[in-house]
Amino acid sequence: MLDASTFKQVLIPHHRRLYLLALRILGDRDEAQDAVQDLYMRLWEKRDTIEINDSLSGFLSMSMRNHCVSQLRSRKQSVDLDQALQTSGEDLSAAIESRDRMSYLVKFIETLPPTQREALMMRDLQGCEMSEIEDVLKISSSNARTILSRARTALRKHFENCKL
Amino acid sequence: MNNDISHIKQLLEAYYRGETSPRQEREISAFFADTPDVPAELEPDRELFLSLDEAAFPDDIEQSLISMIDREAARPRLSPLRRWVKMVAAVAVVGFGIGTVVTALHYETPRISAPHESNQYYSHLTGSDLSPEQVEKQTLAAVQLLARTLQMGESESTR
Repeated sequence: MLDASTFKQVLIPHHRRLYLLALRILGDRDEAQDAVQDLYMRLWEKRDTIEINDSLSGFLSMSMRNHCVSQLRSRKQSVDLDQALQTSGEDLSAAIESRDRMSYLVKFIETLPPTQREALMMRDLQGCEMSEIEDVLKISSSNARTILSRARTALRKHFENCKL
Repeated sequence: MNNDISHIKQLLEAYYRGETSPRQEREISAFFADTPDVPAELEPDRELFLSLDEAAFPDDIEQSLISMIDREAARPRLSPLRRWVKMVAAVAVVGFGIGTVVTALHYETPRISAPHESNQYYSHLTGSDLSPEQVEKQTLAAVQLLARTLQMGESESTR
């Protein structure tokens, strides 16, 4: 059985990836945060049955995806419609544009090699200090800069190729 | 404006080398948020920074998860020994119940050798047509139902 410290050490680091996945599916930051919290609560309740192995990461993604899809199903369509009707045309198109851009970013981040992905998420989405990134990823400071540089450059190229 | 643009370009070069400070990164981000029209060559950079802003993590997400787990972990969970003691107690209660009913039946049912007469005799006492065997069977079923209910309660409470 997982105790609290192992749980935090092994499972909490996945929260960044899971949050982005939830954000991409749900398209709303508050809902994505709630979804991540719900998922971790359920994981804690089921900690007796969680196996720490190579398939853990895939298992977590699948659980997050399923949770978000059921959230979407239970979300009332009428709420979205009400919101859309209250929003002016200009605001609505700005909202759609912003959502497309965010989803475009998240899809790209998911394709990055794991170390680049973690470094980019920690620095540019979470605002972590470089020393924290070095500690978590167990890499030197020059290595951390190189990895971050590669991820950012690849991201720039991705946006260069895209016409939103 | 031109000065601003060349300054931002310098900052961007440092950013893509992984060499900017958080303050410089906030400066680039604020510039793009406030400047809708940028030169075409900066358009991808603008999209990139706006998208990072839109996907930025809630400030306290990691800490709130850690606090949640600490809070849950601090909740008392029944130790295996206490769970065992509860189970034994539940079995004892059910056992005592069955024992009482069986003993009572034993004393109330007259021992008559001929089964067909016993029916008659028992109906005098209870006003029903049930034989002692049927009564015993029904009582046992009731006790078993009670035992199952108690066990359900037991598993609920140890969850």
